[in-house]
Amino acid sequence: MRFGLVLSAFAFLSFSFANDSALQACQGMFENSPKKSVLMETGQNVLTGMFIGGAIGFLSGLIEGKKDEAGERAVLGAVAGATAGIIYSIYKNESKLHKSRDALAKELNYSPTYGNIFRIVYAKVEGNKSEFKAGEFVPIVIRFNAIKPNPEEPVEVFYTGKLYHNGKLVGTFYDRIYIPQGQSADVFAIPVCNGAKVGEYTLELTATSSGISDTIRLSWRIGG
Amino acid sequence: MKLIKSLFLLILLTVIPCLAEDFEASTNDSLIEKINDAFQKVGITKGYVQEEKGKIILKGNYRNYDEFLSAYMIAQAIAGVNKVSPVYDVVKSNIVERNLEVCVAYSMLGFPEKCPTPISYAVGKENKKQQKYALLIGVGKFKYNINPLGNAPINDVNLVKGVLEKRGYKVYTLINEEATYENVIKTIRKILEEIPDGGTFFFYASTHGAPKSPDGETGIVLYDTSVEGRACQTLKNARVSDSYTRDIIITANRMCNFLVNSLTLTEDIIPMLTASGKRIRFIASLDVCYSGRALKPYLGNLIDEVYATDDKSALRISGVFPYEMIYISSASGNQLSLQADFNGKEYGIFTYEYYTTIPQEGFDTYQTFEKVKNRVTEKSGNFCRAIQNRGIQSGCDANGQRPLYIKNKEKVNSVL
Repeated sequence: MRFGLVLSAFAFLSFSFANDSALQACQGMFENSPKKSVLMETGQNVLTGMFIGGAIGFLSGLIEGKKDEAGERAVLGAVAGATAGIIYSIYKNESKLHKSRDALAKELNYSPTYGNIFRIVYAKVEGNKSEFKAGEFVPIVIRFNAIKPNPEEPVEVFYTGKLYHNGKLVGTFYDRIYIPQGQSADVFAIPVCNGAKVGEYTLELTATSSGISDTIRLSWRIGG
Repeated sequence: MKLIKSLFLLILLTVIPCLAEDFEASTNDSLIEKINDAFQKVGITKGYVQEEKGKIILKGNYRNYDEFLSAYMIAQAIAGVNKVSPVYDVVKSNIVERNLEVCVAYSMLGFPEKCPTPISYAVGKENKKQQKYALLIGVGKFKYNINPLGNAPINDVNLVKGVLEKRGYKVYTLINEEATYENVIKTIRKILEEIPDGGTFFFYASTHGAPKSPDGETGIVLYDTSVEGRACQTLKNARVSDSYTRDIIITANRMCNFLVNSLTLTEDIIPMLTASGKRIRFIASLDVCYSGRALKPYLGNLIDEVYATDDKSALRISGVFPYEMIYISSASGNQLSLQADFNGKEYGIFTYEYYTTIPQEGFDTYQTFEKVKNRVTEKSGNFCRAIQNRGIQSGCDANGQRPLYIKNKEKVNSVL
């Protein structure tokens, strides 16, 4: 849920590049890619943890009637709270974005004789939003199940993409990446640059690994 | 006394593994420090490595995949191949500018040509009369320092062209200087514009073949193919001030020494066909060294790089290409392909045997394969032993080439 909230916040990030050329504006947006928010979120948890830990420490000092120790306890509580916040955040992010190979293999009753498993579990435009405008990012999350007989081997994913604008093909491309085995996510934040053509867009993405392909289609609208 | 000795031995046995563990930890710590130090020196300022479960993991932010790849090569150069993971885990690291993001963003803007990894093509007017197209490549001389192959590749192309024209193919050929990487891609795009939905595309090449990257799939060597360290641009542009880092960069750069401007089925041709949006039957035939591993990314590491022709291997590549695909190699993945004199003219041994036989077999690619495979093995084996007996050093297989026939569906139309 946390990661979903972070991604839904992408939609509200906007940058003013009205006076720049379209290409420069695009470059500027890449330099400010909000994918970093995943890491920033850890920082937010630290602050929350510190605040809660500090408050508990201070209150416990007051309850025990040792007002002079309350400040000291608050500092200790803040440190403990910060640690808990970091651990909580890492745990939440990891469990949201990655399930270990062993856990997934157990869930699927996997045996090495099954060979390679590769499947898109889901792919979506995050944040329950389907219309975007210039300056915003289209946040996409794709989650894979990937297991190979050799647990040490990384999974190479080869993407081929087709982008349709109002039903017409406008561009085709590829991308590739190595992901860990297990259930893991790949995250994209596509900038809607100043000057992007208004209309309906559909991205047809085929992911191939170890000879197994899976295709998904994602749609969004660029408004004026 | 015995008791003291036993106690001493017991203490030693307990302490030594601990010391070994500490030593290993400190060795890894020093490796990690070296890697992070090297990252900073080449300008990878926001990426770093950490050790997790005995593996060195790339963490932090990377500008693009090239910077990520460069970081991986540096880490491998310092720590060794097996210690570093090439995995991109979104929880641990962030590639700020992914190729997919750039391609979609610029395509929405109306500049699809700004995409760093395009599969460019244009949907053209359908030519309903012409259904079958072929591109044949023959390279016997090369722009850079690669051993020439003489006229054999040109003779091969002419032989195959004759066969295909009899079957109604519109044949495009690229010979020697014409067969540059750019020309080949342009010609494939042109064919994809012309070919109708449901048509057949036949691709053939007679030239050198070599693994495109260490242990990678076979790259088809073209006229302007060279061996350079251009795979990691960040490393190429790195400015380093001290000799220690320079050594590391040189080593990492060597690991980026891939074949530049070579052509592969898996990275160049098949993605273009898939993205054309047309249902195209694809037949590829390569007479190049190591041709059996041209589909390696799909088939993985099989024993001795020899792929069976049974349904099992067909199953392994099903899904790679949605329509019918047939691949015929001149040799297995670890073998050279030889050329020899036939009636005063040089040809690739496989090409001559296969394409002079196919008209007699009703142009059936599989029937012909079954008919000639043992003959190719026998002739190339004899030829290899003959040249080795003359004292010429060659990496050829004295047991002969083993051609392969791979299809992606159990039932395919195997007739040309």
